Amino acid sequence: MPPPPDFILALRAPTANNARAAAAVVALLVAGLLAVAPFASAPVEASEAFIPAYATALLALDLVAATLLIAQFSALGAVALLPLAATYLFVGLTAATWALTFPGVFSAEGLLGGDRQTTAVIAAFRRLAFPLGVLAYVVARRWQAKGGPALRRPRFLVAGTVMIALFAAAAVTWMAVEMAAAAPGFMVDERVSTATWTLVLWASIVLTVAATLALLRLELTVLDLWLLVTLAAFFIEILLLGFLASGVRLTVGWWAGRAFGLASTAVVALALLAETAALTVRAVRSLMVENQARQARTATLEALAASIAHETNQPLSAIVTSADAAVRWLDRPQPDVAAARARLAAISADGARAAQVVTNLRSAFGARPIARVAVDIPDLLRSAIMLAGSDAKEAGATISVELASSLPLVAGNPAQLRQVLLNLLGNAFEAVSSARGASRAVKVRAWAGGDHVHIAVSDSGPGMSCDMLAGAFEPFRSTKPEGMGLGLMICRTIVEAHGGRIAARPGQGGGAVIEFSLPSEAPRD
Amino acid sequence: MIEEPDQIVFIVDDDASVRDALVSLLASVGQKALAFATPEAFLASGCPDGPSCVVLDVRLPDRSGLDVQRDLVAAGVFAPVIFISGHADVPMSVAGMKAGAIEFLTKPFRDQDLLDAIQRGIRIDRARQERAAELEGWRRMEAALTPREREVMSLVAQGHANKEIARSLAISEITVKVHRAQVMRKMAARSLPELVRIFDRLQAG
Repeated sequence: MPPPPDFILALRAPTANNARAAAAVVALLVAGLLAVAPFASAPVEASEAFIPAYATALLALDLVAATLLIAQFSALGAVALLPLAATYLFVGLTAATWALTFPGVFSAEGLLGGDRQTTAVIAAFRRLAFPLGVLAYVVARRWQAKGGPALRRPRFLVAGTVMIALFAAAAVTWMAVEMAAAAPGFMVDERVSTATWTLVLWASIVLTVAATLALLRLELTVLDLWLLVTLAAFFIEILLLGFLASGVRLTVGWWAGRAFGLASTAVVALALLAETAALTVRAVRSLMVENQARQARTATLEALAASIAHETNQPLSAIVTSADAAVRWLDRPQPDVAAARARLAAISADGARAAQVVTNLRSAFGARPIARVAVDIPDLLRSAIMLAGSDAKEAGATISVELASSLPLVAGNPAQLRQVLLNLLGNAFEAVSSARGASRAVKVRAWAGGDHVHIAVSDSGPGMSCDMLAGAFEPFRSTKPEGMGLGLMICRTIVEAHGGRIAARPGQGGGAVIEFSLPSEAPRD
Repeated sequence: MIEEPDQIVFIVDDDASVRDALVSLLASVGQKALAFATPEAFLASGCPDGPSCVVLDVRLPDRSGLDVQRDLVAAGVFAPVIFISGHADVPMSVAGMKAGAIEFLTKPFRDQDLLDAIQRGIRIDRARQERAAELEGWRRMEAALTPREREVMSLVAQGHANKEIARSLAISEITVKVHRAQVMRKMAARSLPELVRIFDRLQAG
């Protein structure tokens, strides 16, 4: 059993400790605000020198946060994380261009050209982008909760997210540099901002409050909790920058706001980093445990098969020898009827014994009830595909998954159903690995139809003949040199025990398709 | 199939039905057989006198048949072994044959295959016993030789001429001829080549 996915930051409900930690950070920020407030408008002379360091730290932390969010998306397929990742990427990249254009840091006019409005234009977009990004995340979360989009080609989604963030950062910087003259006047001089700038801050405050309220209406996860902390820091940052420091750059309040913003970004990035490290450790551990369990299962099955073979072969062998002996007793010049009769009696007893072995076996395996729970088919597919990953790599097979957008739950035993998928995937990998040169594609589809969930595993292998298709689910029908021929039989036993059906058919473009259906539980709310 | 009344087949199989069936099959062709459930019981029954062979189930409950075969040899039972197995695989049969089994049969087997193997095993064992008996006779004869005669036999068998032997033993050629005649008589060798063969067999053990 892989652990349930609730140990992941983006999915887990916060514990009381998480909530306390978040509250403590917010309290610290407020205390900092109060402590700094009296001196907020005092200038910090020649502090331009700190701006590159600040921007570098911000860029690094934002990149870490964006990368880890994308990594969690890849692991979970939670699309909502992507707008958030894009936001962190955008905010980080524009922190760099913001510093590059900051007057008096790299050069008197800023490194990229433009005029004194340029830096402020970039800052304005950054002020608005973060709360907007959080709002986009909330919208995506709600969409996802309603069943969400069919997840196809996650790699393209990631690439698209990164491209959008890069493009937006480049566009904003270009615009700020080239069109600064046309921009509303944000700055009176290199340090003092205008009332127009204050409008931007008000807009940002409104968006931040909206994002906070929207987040609070979600079912909170640990990630959401830290986002709330970040929004609080962001809010305090605006208060310090725009109002307490009277909109003057390089003052105590301005720097304090920056520091708070940096600290809250660091909290999110580090929380994600810690979670990802823990996730990796757990994933590796669970994979190891599962592999061991699989090996143990195979070993048990082999031992079982050997013992069944032995248990039935002994009486059968005795029967054959007794029959041979009886014939020889009767063939003697003076037939020994008594000895032949004794052999016949032995044959009868051994036949009964062989039958008893079969009966015992059936009662040992047939009568066990299986524990059933509500099984989420996408989860099941994901865990099976993850487990089969190394086999796929070995076979050079590529797995594609096509999931219908909302699949009902299925009542069943997850371990057994996963075994069905693993057997089918294993067969598919073996089928495609024998395909020379051609594409080695294995496709898994799941869709709802009638009151059943259907799952099909198809491969681009050599396919099966009519004979093979007809007998595919019979025991000991392996076409593999080392196969026991039990895999598909076990699949059928499990699927039928779940009230489902399984069938094999030729694929449309060659190859084979094994499709099974399971009765769905209640429709998903 | 019966060739000598004292020839016997030993059956070691943990399954009583298989044992009974085998004993009956052998009895139907007039072959005496003794069956044991475990190799220990077989070894405890004492070493067989007449020509014999052992039918051994490879998959005994405690140990593999291959180990048992090693134990038999260690206990001085040199009778040929026929392995029977319910689940013989190729490596196992190869190992069995290498360890000196004369046949490896997979259960259930054809009765004629087993009977043929047993017959072959007993023939091999009889030949082995005869050779052993012959060697035992020569040993006794050799024991009757004097030390000097033993020296002369050794030199003669190694192809030395009487003259050379006389020189190396510092005796006369006449004396060598006398010793040599004694050796031929005591060892019951009718010719020089026969003496050489006997000598070689004695040396080989």
